[in-house]
Amino acid sequence: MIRLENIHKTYTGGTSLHVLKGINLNIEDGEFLSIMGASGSGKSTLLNILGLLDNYDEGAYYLDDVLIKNLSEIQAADYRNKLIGFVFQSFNLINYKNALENVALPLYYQGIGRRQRNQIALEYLDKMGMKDWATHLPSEMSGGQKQRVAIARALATKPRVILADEPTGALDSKTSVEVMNILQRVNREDGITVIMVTHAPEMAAFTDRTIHIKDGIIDSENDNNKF
Amino acid sequence: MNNILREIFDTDRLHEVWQSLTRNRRRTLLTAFGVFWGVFMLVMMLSIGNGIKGNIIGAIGQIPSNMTLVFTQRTSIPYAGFRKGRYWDIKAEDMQEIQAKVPEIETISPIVWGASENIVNGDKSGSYQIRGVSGEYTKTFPVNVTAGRFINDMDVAECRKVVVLGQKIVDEIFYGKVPLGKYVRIGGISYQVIGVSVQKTDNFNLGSREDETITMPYTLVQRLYNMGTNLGILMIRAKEDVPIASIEGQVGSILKSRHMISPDDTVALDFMNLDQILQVFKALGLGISLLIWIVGLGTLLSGAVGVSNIVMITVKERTNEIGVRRAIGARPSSIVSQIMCESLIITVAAGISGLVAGVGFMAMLGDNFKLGAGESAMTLINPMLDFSTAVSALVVIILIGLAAGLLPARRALRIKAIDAIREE
Repeated sequence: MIRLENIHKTYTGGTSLHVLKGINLNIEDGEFLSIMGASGSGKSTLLNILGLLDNYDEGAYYLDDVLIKNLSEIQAADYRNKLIGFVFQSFNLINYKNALENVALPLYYQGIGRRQRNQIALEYLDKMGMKDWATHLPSEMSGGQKQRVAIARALATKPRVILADEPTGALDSKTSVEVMNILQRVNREDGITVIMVTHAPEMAAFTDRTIHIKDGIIDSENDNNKF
Repeated sequence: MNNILREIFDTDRLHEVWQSLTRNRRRTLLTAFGVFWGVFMLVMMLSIGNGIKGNIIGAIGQIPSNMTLVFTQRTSIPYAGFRKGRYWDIKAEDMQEIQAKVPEIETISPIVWGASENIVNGDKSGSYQIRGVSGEYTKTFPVNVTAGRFINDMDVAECRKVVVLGQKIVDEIFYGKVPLGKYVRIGGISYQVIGVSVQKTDNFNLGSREDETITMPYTLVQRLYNMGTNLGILMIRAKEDVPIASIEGQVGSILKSRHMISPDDTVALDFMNLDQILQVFKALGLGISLLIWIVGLGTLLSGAVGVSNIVMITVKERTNEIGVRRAIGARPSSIVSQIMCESLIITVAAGISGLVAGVGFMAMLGDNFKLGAGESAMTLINPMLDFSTAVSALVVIILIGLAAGLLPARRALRIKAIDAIREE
């Protein structure tokens, strides 16, 4: 599904910062992967590159066997829309739109009509157990509920990959487990590849495989299913 | 481009824009008010300008365009033994000679100005300008005679002691009752009132306002003031299709040779024809229009800067939202069109409201609204925006709306998904 070959990334500006120093990584279709590392290790940068939110300087990135390099803004937007779903630590729901509208938004950018869009959105909200909250604004929901809406939004376009950046970072431990269960279910039942950045080992334990990044390179990796 | 247009007129897009505009209603309304007020002022000023132009053109339209006035002044060149700076007057004989020698003249008549004289009626009295004319006067300069008749050739030939009173004199001295056929005392002499005259045009007079003038046969005025055969000024109207300039040339050479004035003296004899007057007014009208557009557009521009500023702030506030939209697949064109659309909708909605309010307000004032008060009040003739001006105003509003959105849209475009998400 995803193949990274010797990815380098340097941030320039002021002092240049060599963040990724040659990442080689293969992620299978349907895998549930977690990326761990200390802050500043480059794990978020890696996720941004995977999510086509940032460019890399050197190496090659194949997404679904397509070389992702020097994409135009439009191409990147279309790939993100079709192939990737994002789940963020701070949910990033649009605060003046209700749950249904938030979930329907990526479908709007696909050019799907309002009626069909809302129908699909409602279906995914239902799947997340949030159907009754469809007309509520994000401000009226708890953190866990917001994250479920955000996951529904990520799933609405039927992406191949879900990228989750510290999805439980803003949640208490009980809710975190709920969210992890949802992600696990999405991975197992829908066969969607899930890549999650976290610094909590107990969350990483929900995933199939964990890679550890240290100083811009993959330091070690372990297969969680062995234990 | 096509894509952007399609996205602008998409109902979902409009819904999105509506949501974001109504999120901060008061701010949106205040911003829109800037544009509203600019357009409102522009419409008001353009309408009033049109009214003033209508008034001036209405006044000039009453006067035959192939007319000229002949004035005398002191000579400026020594000639035939005379020093320069000599005073001279047009004589009645000159008028006859001109009439005989220039067949292209349709009508020629003098205006002989007298002094201001006191007119008395019981306990009422007032001082008004005396003017002597011939029966031909009304053929050159329009006068409304509301009662009785005007001076005629018989009055002139027989030097009858008859007067035509201006309407205002009737109102002020005779309590509005026309003393037709009665005798009134003016400067101690009795005259019979034969008619009442009213100004036909609002702000175009020769010498004095028609309403406040006592008109007599010019021969009588000559006799009253011991003028001999002196005439004040000549009014000449050419026959159809005869250029007034050629008449001016012929009249000039006749008068100069009869009065020993150098043919090169351009000062002693002065002509004023309507073409010249018209040109002055046209230039004036153009100046007014230009000024109105400059001031109006300036006001509108400050409104547009307000819109641009607010949309810019909105973009800044929504950095995170725009980033999220980019992350979930919004194309750059989609973001740009959303921002442009917001600016356009505020501007156009406010602009059209201003246009409608301005036109409505002027319609409420009516066709003949008086600008100013009292004597100097100017009636605005049809103070309305003409259709083409309204259309160009609308085009200007749309352009300004787009321009106002340009900078914020550029800013929004620079927001990358990654920046927004990092902001946590």
